[in-house]
Amino acid sequence: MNENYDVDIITEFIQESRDHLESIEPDLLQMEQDGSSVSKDVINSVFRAIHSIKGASGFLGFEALAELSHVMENILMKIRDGEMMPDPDKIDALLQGFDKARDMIEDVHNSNAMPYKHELDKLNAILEGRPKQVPDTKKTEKSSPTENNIENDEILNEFAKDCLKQLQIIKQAIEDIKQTDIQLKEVHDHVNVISKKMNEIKTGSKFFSLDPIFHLSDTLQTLFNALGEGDLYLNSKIYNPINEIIDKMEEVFKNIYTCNDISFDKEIETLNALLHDETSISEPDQSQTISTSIDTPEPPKVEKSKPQETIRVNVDLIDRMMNLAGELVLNRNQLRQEVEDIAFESTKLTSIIQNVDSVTSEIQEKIMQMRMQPIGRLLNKFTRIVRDLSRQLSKEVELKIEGKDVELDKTILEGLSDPLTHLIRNSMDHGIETPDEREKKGKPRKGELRIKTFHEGGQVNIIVKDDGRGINATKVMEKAITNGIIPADRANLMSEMEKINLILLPGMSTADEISDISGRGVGMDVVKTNIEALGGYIELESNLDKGTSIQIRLPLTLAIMPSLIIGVSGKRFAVPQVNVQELILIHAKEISQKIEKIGEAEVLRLREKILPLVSLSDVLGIERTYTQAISEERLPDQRMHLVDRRDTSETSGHPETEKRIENQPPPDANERRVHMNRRNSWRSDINVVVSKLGTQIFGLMVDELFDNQEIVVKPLLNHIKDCKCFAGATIMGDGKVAMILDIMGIAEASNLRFAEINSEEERRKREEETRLKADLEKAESILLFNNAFEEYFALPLDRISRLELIASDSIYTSGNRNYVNYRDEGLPLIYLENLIPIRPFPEKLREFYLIIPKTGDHSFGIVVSQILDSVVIAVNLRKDATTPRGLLGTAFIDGEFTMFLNTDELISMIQETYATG
Amino acid sequence: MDNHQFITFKIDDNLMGIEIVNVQEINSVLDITPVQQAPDYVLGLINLRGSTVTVFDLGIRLGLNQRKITNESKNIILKKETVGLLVDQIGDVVEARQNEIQPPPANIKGIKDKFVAGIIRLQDDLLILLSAEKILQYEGA
Repeated sequence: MNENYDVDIITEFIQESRDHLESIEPDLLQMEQDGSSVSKDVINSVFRAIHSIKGASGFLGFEALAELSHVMENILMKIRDGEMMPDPDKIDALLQGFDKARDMIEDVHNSNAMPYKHELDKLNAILEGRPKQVPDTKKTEKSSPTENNIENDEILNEFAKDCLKQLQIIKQAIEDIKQTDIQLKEVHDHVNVISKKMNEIKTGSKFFSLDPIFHLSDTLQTLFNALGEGDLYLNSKIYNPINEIIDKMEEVFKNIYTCNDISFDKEIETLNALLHDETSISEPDQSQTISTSIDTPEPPKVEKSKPQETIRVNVDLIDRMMNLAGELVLNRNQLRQEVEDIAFESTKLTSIIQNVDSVTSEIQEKIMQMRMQPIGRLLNKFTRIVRDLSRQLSKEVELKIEGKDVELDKTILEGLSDPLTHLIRNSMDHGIETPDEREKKGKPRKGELRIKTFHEGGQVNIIVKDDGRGINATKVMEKAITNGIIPADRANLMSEMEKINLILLPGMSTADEISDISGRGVGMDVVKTNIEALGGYIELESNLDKGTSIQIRLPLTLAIMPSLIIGVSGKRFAVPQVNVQELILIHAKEISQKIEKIGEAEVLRLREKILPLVSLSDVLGIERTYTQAISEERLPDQRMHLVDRRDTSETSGHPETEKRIENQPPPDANERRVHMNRRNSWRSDINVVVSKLGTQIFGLMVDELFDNQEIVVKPLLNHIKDCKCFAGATIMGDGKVAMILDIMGIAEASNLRFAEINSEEERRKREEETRLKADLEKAESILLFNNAFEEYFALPLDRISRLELIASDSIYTSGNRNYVNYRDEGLPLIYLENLIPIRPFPEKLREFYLIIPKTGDHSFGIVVSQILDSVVIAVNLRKDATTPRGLLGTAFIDGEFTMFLNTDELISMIQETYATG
Repeated sequence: MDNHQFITFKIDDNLMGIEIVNVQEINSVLDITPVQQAPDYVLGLINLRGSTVTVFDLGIRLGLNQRKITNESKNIILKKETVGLLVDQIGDVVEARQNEIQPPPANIKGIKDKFVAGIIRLQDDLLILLSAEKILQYEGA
């Protein structure tokens, strides 16, 4: 008989019920977690939700659903009243019950035919497991299943009987309120009960078109709501008329068929008078109340604390608006471009354009916001999944969710459900160990699974992290080799992280055993495909026995993509901003230094890294062009590689010059010079878009860089979908179509040999290391000192025999020779400035140092003003024709120009002066 | 229901027609952005009032020569999928009864058979009827 009802009402019911079910699950899990200490609010919230479902489904004739929810309601009531503990078994049964209820709601017209005995029995068993009385047995009859093809009359009778019971409860509650002596909290609870009962009567009477009762009950409900909010007090002035009215309603329900002949106008008037007389509350006018509350059997409490009003809008409508907004943006861009020149002259026009501009942007933004939903909606369901899996796998896992408020486009959110579920299951099944195993490893028995969501750089990041056994990179690599996914020689060159990320490729499943939950070899690659289909990236990091962390990066929305506009050979393309890591300009004259060739591949050296370079024009098969420096016309570029030197081929003659020679008189000197200088012209500068693809980056060489734009993505026809290099098309401000590049497709198409590049990088790193090591071996200890304070000198330590501190007054002079008393012998001194062209020794020093070098027979002391340091260093000594005698050479040490003394030479020099002097 | 209307056009000297119910509009938007590495018959994309339309060179699509764009060149924009067919020249609308439409003879003038839905013998010409559906169908790479 349910098809008798308005389709709209049933749709409304389904939507409401979905919302209720969504809120029920986390609450149930909360109950389980908190046990007896669970807050009343949580139970009440579940209770209210299931109650609404029960009420509506009963009246709509979905008896199976009504019965199921009824039993669950009874269990919840017992939990609320403290007669039952919400232990895992009960929650299990309830969860299963709600699952079934969800199935029924999703296919509501066939819900009565769905088997639900299993769930019902389980629930009943729990209910009957307690000897205590069920407080509301009087209600059980209400929604007992009836025959499917029941007569309308019979349902109506059923409804009337039910309403009588509701009225009984209401009367009782009113009585209770009188007893409680206006204690607000309790009054509130009672009023809630009344309001709910009234709501059931109201909803039912609407369905049966019992208009007088509907209006009356609606007014009553409003009145009770006012009571509940403390706006009204139940004194005898109100109590008496209400009781009378309820009595009258009872009469009507006893003779339900005469109901439509009765008018409650007078009663409604009385009630309205009560409402407005006693209070200052401003109820919305009657008609509006009806229209908003007819099909929404929401508990009054919700109405009370309603923070924002919401309406339901068909998603198709929003999608359509989204497209329109996209086109509006497009037209705005075109308009702006078109009037740019004229606008200069007219300030009025400029301001209009600016207005159009900002309004358009805002419209677009708001519509996008309409599609945004908090990710919490999706993440909440994992609490349940983790709970169920923990029980199933006998593991202890705690799920921590951070960043539930982060919002994502609806489409993305929907597409995220499957891959995330897969990741969670993987973590639960393969990642986190059993409690015993964990204990043996010295980890806490309880595993931790963390889902963290946050914004970063205009993208949404989701990190799924467990503290389980991690991924064995070697095992993954071996598997990849065995399965023929990558050749062994390439695999060996891979970094740990790359090896782990192999798991994302098709045909990889490393689980030792296949389980119910995961491990059928079609796992992570599907996750990867799904994520990439959403315009996102996935990346794994893992440490053996420490855990695995999976990072997913997603765009906020799919329809509009922030992109970088680039140009190649005069054609424009859009590169999605998510793929752009940085932009590099290589000046024409630096090309040969920065770009080199490894095998056939061109690479760019960028901060210790080697980036493979891809020429966009080559990948797309567009002729490489360059702009001729003088004529500004585009000419085909014949170079195979950028590093190929043009000037060297100039003499041998290259195709261009040859052509010129054939067709024209010989180029004049000026033209030739321009041609020669091409390599140094700014037009030959190379722009490199450093593009990232998960862990790998490469450089995309383009001719021109334009600005960043928010572009509207237009899908491609299937005829061109096979061109893997494009992700879509867009319309630019000038109305021309530009293609959106698919960076992954380009990397594939250009057959990038990341492994080869990586191995070259490794090789260079090793080379660098050996060079450093060799340098270290060459290093020696040297002593640094001054003569004049501003000049630096050095001697290898192994050339020094002793170092002495000497007082200035202990110097003896004999002729042109100076001595000190050293071990009772006169030690001749060497003043360096006497032998080498340097500044003199500082005067008036009270103390100074003597360096006594290792020499053969003769001992000398070299006078120095101060000892600076002794360092171990590899020195690259410079010695040439200008180096004066007495020095080994010069070098920069710590940035100071330092002279290295040659003690042997110095000694022979001093002996020569003695001989001559 | 018996009457069919065809938009006629020229590909080289061939008079061809497509049933009017399949046609959204005819225009001369010929600012075409090429799509690299697309099948040869895909000329590229145009902007049709904010939507992108993929333009086919109908000549190549049918197995004939490449079109040259002239002043008379037109795009026939098909319904369903947003595809435009570049033709040399647009002709009249021809009306025909079902019984006037004859099955296509094998191999007309080098046109791939599968695209030909039938022929109509006009007084002094032969109208080759094309199947919009087959033209839109993608055969895969």
